[in-house]
Amino acid sequence: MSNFAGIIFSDMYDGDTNVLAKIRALASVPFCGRFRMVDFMLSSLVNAGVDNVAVITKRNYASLEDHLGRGSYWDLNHRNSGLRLLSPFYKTANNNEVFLARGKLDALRSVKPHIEGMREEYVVLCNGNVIANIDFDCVLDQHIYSGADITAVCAQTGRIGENDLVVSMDGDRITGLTYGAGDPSDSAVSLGVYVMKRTLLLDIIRRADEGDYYSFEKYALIKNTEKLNITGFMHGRFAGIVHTVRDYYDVSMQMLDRSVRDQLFRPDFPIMTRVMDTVPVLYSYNADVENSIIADGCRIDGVVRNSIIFRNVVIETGAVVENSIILQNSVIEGDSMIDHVILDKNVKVTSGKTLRGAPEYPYVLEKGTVI
Amino acid sequence: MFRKNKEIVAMLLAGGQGSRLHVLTKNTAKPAIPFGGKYRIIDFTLSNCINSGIDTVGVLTQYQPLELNSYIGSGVPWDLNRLNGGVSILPPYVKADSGEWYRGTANAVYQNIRFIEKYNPEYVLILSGDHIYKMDYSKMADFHRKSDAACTIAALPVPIEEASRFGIMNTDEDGRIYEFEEKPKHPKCNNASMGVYIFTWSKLRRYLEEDEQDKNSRNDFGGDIIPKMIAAGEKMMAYRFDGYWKDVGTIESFWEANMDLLNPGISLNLSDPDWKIYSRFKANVPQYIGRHADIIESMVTENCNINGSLWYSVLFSGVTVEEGASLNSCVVMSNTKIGKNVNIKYAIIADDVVIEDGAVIGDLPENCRESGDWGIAVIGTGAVVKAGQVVRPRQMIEPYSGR
Repeated sequence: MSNFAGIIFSDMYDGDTNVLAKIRALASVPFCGRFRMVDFMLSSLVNAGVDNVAVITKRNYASLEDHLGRGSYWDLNHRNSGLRLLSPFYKTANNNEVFLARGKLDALRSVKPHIEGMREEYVVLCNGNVIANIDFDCVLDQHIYSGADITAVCAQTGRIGENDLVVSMDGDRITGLTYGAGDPSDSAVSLGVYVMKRTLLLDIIRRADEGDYYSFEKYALIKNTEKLNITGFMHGRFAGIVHTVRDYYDVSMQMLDRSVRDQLFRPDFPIMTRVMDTVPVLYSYNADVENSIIADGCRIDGVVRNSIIFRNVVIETGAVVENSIILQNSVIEGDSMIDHVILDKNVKVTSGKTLRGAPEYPYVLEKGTVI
Repeated sequence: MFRKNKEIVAMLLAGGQGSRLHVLTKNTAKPAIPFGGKYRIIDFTLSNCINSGIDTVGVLTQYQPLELNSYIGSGVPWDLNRLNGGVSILPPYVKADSGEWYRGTANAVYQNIRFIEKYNPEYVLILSGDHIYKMDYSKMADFHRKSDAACTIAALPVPIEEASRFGIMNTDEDGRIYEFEEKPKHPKCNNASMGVYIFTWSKLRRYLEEDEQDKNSRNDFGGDIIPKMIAAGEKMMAYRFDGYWKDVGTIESFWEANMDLLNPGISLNLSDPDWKIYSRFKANVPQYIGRHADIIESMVTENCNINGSLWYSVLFSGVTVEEGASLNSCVVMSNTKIGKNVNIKYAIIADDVVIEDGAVIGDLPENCRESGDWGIAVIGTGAVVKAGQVVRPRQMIEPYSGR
């Protein structure tokens, strides 16, 4: 049994700016043709032998629940421990009113009994919107040997948005954390992965109860860089963080780079996901595909360039898809053209239509739209 | 369903060596051979069973069973992991007073009479694990029940010139079989047996036991049991099947069946949501199609990295095709690497093969008319074809050679 338990947050509580996460948890936003964002942290934990993982939901978690099931696709359907989905509701200590959690610390307060019941000595907190294949064996080793109170996994993601927490470091020690400030080319940001003793986490929760604090980063980290020894672990491979639709588009498009894929999809550390019964992709006589990721179950009769196509999408003859992301079960009928567009699931673009977004503002069609 | 008794128990014969598939079956049983990009041959029969509502399947294994055993596992992908019934792997085993290999198809079922009796079935469905087809066995069972037959045999019309490769059933106009000829030299009709039989279990059990006493019998369904039942005057019916069916027992038919998947005129639709073919799918990364790729009329699956041209080809997961390589009418199995400027025509490349830059494999049939020596080239599992090496049509490269 691993001495580490994992907790993954399904949402980030930072204003819900992502239209793709309106109908589903941020962690269950589909990614890279067949995955959901949560798969990356979940698989990273499992690949390090962590076998007790809880996912804390916020709202609209039906799709997440559907995806995770009992955890069998991550080999987490154990008789004891394994995968648990924890409900999103937060009950105040003095009265029985029920609230939605306002932040990650609220969410942790709401699942205090789960954390108290863990038998593992350490807890790993993760964000479900991080696209990275983290070598947790090394993170956990470093945490134990460094004697740090908290180890925060950091990486250079090459992009810094207002929700990204930039770290300042003195050696390995994190001396400051600031939202949204820094030069993307040489600043490291926190990936929201924090390792600590379970007793410390319970202590943080207890104090948060007293002061009614709800933001984990603001209360437990930013305020405590002097009191606690917070150490950084630099994740040297690819990492992406998705808050906004723009983040989603940019990080998705990075998947077209072979070296990024090689850093993310490593044969010995596989990213696991729910497996569906989909047939191979069928390319017809008129297919013309270039620099694209195509998931199984698609039928490609048209032109696809620089795009990411999810499962069971049909691109008919004469359709041209460029710089776009098409989620599963969508159909692009003949002689239509889309460029810089994100289509959510089950969208239908009927024949002869032209849809165009811009690289900075990809145009999003919500789930089930027929145009 | 938690009833202990099952109306139908399926017995799937998966022990054959498949020697006519040569290098492809050196290390694995024929039913475990990959097919159609992300399937194995046995997926078709197992999926047919569950789609027909048959949830109790015994898989009779004998030759090279390791891969097949681990592939089937507890049957989860086919929804055959059941508290009562489900899929059971039945290898030959040692009994108190005897113990031997399966001598023939009928003997294999005979040796598992106790397995069948556990479910007290009305009918037993006998299947082969090496055919590609989609068939609703429940309709055949209805036919069997209504006609009150002792045995119903699925029959497929085949071209008369090919009829001597099959078991041929001569029937009267009601479909009652009065003669069954195993691979006749001069077939009287084109009603071929698909090797799919439904027996009324009480009858079959008696004939299996009698056949076992017959020292001259080869203990085979087509050669012994069925002719004996006809001779004894049992009611034997032919059940006409009109869909796609292919015995993939030879290199040519295996290659053809894969190519058939690319032919929209052929009724083997893998993506029919009402009759899915289940398989032990993995969580692979979607395929990446590069800037120099040119793909037409082909089937490609997860984890492939394609930067060359594919014409009329079926690629399994994890295949890499480098720039300048071109494949025409090929079947390429999992994790094979195809180097730059490789040229492959009419070939089957097994899994984990490495084809180094500039190798040439196979040729078009029209380029071999003069020599008359054309055939599908086959590269066995794990082999390495060296840079610039030429593999002729019909040539077979042994597994793990060239390493």
